[in-house]
Amino acid sequence: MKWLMRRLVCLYPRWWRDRYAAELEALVEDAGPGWGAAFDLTKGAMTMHARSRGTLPLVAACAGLAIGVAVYLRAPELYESSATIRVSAASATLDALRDTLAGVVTTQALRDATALTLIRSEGGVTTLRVSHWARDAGEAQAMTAALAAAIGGTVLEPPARPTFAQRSTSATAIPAGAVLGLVIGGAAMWLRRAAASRRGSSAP
Amino acid sequence: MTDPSLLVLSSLADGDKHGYAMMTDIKAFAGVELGPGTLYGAITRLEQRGFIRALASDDRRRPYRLTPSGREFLAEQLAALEPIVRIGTRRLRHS
Repeated sequence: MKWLMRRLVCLYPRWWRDRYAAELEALVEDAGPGWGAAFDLTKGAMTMHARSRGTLPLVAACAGLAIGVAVYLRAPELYESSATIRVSAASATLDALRDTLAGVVTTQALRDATALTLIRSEGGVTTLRVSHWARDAGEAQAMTAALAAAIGGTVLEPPARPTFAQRSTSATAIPAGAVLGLVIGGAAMWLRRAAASRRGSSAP
Repeated sequence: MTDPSLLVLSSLADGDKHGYAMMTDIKAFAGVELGPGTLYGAITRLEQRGFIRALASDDRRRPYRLTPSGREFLAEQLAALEPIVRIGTRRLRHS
């Protein structure tokens, strides 16, 4: 426990440790170590870092985290349905097949929710996967079936009705928001300090 | 009154003390057990504002002393608390 308390004192900023660490260690020895004191030291170290570095990066990181959570929670939950198809025509390139699908995928929203992936192409036979995402499981399955029918060929794996939905935005949006906020807050604080230092040096 | 800075100033009002002496004194007169991080956070702030100053010491247990501006600040803070205590106590009696 004493070892932990000494480690926790090391969490304080260097300028602070140079001035107060010996006193604080003596106080911890006198008062006796404990989990309450360990928590209090951790909290004190974080507060001192926030005071010495400014709270702007911390506030910006929290704002970024909140935005990340909001973006993730507001993203619609989509069902994905896929079909695997074998096309025997040698000219069945992905671009040509996308043109074929133009009659089914008529809007940009439908195009964004559709993916055509090449699995294998050899000996004039092309195997590909067509996928479609929709807010409704039945709609995802029906649209994928319509796309498979439009492509033609042999359906190796028919589109199944999806049983679970996934958010269209990955959960990584949450930490990404926090990191982005931290970077923006850090940059803003650096710019502010640089401006203050320029003002100080130009003062008579 | 549980503001750590005010508790530290009140503790030093009757003489110089090091960290552990302040901690035990505060517990005795206010019933508040300040953690080491909270106590030294308050000491840092008060020393930076010039309300207390560290005395020279060969020991790691460095004592602190209330400065005249710290004494003045403490008096102001206590004077500001006085009507709250008085009115709050009176209202409790009459309720």
